Amino acid sequence: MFMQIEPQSDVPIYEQVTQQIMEGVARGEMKPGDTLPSVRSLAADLGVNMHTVNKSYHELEEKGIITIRAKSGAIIRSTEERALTPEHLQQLEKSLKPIVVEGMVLGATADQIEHMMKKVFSDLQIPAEGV
Amino acid sequence: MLLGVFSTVYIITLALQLFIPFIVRETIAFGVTVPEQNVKHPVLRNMKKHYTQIVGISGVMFLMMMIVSYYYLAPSEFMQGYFLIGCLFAMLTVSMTLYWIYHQRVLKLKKEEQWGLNIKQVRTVDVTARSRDEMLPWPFYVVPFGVTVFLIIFTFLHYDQIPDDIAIHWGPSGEADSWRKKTYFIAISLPLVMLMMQCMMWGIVDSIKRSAIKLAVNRKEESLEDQLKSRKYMSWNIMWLSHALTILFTVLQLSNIYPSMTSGNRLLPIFILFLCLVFGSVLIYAWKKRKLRVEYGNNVASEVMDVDEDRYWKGGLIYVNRQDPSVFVEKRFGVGWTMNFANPRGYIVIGLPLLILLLISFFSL
Repeated sequence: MFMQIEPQSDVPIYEQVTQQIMEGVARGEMKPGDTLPSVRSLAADLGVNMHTVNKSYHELEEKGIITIRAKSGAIIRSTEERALTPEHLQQLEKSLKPIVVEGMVLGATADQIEHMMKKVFSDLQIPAEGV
Repeated sequence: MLLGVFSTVYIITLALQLFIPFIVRETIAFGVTVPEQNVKHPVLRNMKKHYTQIVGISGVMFLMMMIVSYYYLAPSEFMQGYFLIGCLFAMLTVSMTLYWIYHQRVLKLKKEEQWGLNIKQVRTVDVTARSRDEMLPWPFYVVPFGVTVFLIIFTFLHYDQIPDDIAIHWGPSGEADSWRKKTYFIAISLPLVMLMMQCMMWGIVDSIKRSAIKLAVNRKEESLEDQLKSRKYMSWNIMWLSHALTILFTVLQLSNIYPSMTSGNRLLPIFILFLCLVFGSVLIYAWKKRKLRVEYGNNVASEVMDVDEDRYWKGGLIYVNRQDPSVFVEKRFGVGWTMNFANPRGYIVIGLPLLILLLISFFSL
């Protein structure tokens, strides 16, 4: 799986890393049980500080997407292990709110927003070339 | 003999200098990042051609001067040696001056034509690349340490047998030309120097292993192949060098204990073999790099490019980047790798053994 980071973007690098790994999992490019590279080597390859990658891995662990083991590194959890909890759903709803609000203010209908969601969802199910 | 060794070294160096612009990545012209959207700029091709022509012509001229002066200065071997080295450096000066001129010109052109100014810069990583890395594991570099330790013990056991004067320097024809009075320290100074060199080589390979696998965003697969193979070949090269050094120093040390070994130029083949291995491995590496080089048929039409790191490269030659955890990066103008001067690890890996090595030679000379 390829990852693409924009160092000059306003989005912090650790967020970009988290997002890219999640996208890889969503697309099925990273399978449950796959190991992520070690913090040290991913940091070297990205040309960023080790703490940046570490932060991103811990965020992924908090989200329940990976398990960090002392010896074997960061492993993608299986679908059962990352079962959606009510807390997760609540969290997602919270993150979605500002986007829906912006849409509403600009006059988007519930249908339009729903259509948008479905489009994003199906786009991720088509394995894309590269990223 | 002297001329033979020198002209071989000279010709190999010249050949490498000539082809450098065609060995390094095409997206780097005279140490300046060229966006893939501009790689086929006609001016760049002309510059590379002119560089090779001028260095080639002056290189051949210096070579002829070298040969003529060798016979002209025949009575004094000392003068001959100096003149031969002088010619080598004159050739390198010509190529570096030319590099510098073209470096400035490409920079100017890049600025004038605003290359890559509105192109998004990204850094690409293959998260599976590390599992495909084929660099040799550490035991290949640590086994020679055992030879050194054994040699030191062996030297102490045979200390009484060693002649009172120990050879510490050998001339180009493999005959010792400098000696010191025997002490325990002098007796093992050679294996100690060898140990430091082995440490350095292990440190370099280990640091390269930890350094970045850099991909070209518009040529991911090809550049990944290039990176993985370059790392593999480099680790092989350093392994050969480390083992060759071990053999050379072991023979030299044994010849100190058993002086009869040196009689009648018997060490000469070892020196020649060592030189062949060193230069041969560099040439093979350069040739492999040339074959692995990502080729661009045309300017790439893409909205992204790799991160432009020009500001971290002083003069396109010295890499200083505090943010980059890599200790070694591939050279922008040359064959092989160079140090990230902002990374303290590099100073430990290279500097510390070098310092100890200098101290040993200082106290044993």
